[in-house]
Amino acid sequence: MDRAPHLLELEHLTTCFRSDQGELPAVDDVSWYVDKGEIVAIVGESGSGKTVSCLSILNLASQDGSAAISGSIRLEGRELVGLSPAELQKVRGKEIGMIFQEPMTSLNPVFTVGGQIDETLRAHTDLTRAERKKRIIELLELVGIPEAARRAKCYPHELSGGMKQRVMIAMALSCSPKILIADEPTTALDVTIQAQVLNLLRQLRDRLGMSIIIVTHDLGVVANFAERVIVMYAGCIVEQGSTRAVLKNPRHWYTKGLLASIPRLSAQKGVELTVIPGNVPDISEMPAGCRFCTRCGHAQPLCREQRPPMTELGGGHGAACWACAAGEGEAHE
Amino acid sequence: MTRYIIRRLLALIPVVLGLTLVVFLLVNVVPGDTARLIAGEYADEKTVESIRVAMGLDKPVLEQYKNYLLSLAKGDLGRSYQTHRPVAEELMTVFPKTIQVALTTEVISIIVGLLLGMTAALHRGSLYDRGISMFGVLGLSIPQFWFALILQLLLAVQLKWLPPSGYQNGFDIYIILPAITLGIPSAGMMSRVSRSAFLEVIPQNYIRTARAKGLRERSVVWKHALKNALIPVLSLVGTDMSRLLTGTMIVESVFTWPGIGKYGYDALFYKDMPALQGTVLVLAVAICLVNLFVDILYAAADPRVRYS
Repeated sequence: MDRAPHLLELEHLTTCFRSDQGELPAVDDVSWYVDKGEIVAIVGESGSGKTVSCLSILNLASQDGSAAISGSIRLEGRELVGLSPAELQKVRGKEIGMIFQEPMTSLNPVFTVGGQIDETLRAHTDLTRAERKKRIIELLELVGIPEAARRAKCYPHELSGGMKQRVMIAMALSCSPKILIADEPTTALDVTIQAQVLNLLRQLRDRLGMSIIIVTHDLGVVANFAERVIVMYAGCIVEQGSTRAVLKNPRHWYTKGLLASIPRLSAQKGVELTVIPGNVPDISEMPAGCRFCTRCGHAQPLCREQRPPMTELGGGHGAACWACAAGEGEAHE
Repeated sequence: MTRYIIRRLLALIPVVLGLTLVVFLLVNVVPGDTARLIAGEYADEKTVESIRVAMGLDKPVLEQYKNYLLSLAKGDLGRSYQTHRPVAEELMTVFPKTIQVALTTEVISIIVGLLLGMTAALHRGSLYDRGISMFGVLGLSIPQFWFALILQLLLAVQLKWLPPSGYQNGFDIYIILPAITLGIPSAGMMSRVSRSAFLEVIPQNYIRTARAKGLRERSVVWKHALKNALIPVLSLVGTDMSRLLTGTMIVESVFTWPGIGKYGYDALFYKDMPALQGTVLVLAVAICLVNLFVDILYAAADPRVRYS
């Protein structure tokens, strides 16, 4: 196994939200990493904890401080959990940039887009006013916005959704971060714009050499865009590995179900689509064993009682399923 | 922007014309004989009749209205029955004094109300927040005449910190009591509106973006949140300013502040019709202008508002 330190490493990350029913873990004991220049996708249904785990990296999971983070998050070996607000501000936007699902509401409606990029530059760099102005135009051109100088003076409502997401990307990249976290960056956009934005992100990765963490529920995005994939279900990682290995040879029943439920053009008309029965259990009533056991057609008594460990299947591919653990045990015998 | 303002000013013309009609009819619907009122109770029938003719009160109503409009166009609002001085001249001296109190009160209320509402929203659910909410309700529900008297009793008569009433040219301590009386409801309302505006703005995605950019909490709150929360507060300024300009009758009477409220009150008391007409007209036009000004401010604060 590769022992060189990863660019970003999360260990036993747990994010709890305070609520009337006590502390509810939206992300429960999750460990993963990102290497330099890598594109990693985190997939899962809504409520799987994929967004919360990414927001936790910069302690943005809640706006009012109701989220409690435990475990370890290390950026180039430096611990981020428990940093003071002032130290965290230096990481946010400078070392780790972030873009969000809703470009429509993620930009402040009462400031010009150029002004909003300018703020990030002012917060993290010593550039002069003229240098910043030049940099803003460079950035807007970099993300493919025509007439950048004019657009910089626009307010968000004067731009289309795709343009706004490009502005968000320009803003996130303004201080050349090491990692870009993209939380469902294309979900709110038209299909044609989605492809443009993803292509742009990949080109930017190639040019600037940063890593990208993309949160998505779209396996199509994963297949075309990511090099490695982490599948989350109900706050836990159920399977991870290279995109090719996970998508070609899924080992966890949840991943298999997810892949089977993609509608295909080749399917006959009138044939019902495959679905995973049931819903994600509420975090207040999680099963003790495998969290997927309530919806899994292959669940055994053991699955209901004990949580399955992450079983290494070779080449970094792993799945947290008792079937894999048993299969591996047999192979060793 | 300039074109927008000009267009809005032009749109005021029919409004003002309508106002003059209402104000003119005011005299005609009020019971009592105007000529008799001027002549005095003990005047004989002949004197009353000569006054009626001299003032054109014997002419048909429509012609009277025409004459009223014509003199209005010359800036003539008639002469006060009480003082026999031109009403326009008198209003010129009293109205600025009311504006002085209203503006002082409004500016302080906005600042105080915003600060209270903002800090309450940031400490939502705390004892402080509940205290501010209480202040808001209290400020809005205290009757003005009662509060004015209590302040006078407490701060002027008992503690002797401030003069109980009166006026001096320029800014003087005399303004404090009327300003507090008028400002408590304003600040209360502002604090409530700005609190809820902040509570609405803080969970917005763009606030999270501002934090994700690595901005200091200070600029997240004072820049990104404040400018958005200001928009609903601004829309309140129009109505509040109108309240301050028109609702000063009682407060000005209690503190003998020689403003338009006191002037209007006296005019009403003595059935001084030209003075009353002038007061109503000036106040109504002032309210129209205040609302126009607020609309312009509104457009300046929110780029999504179009000038159309």
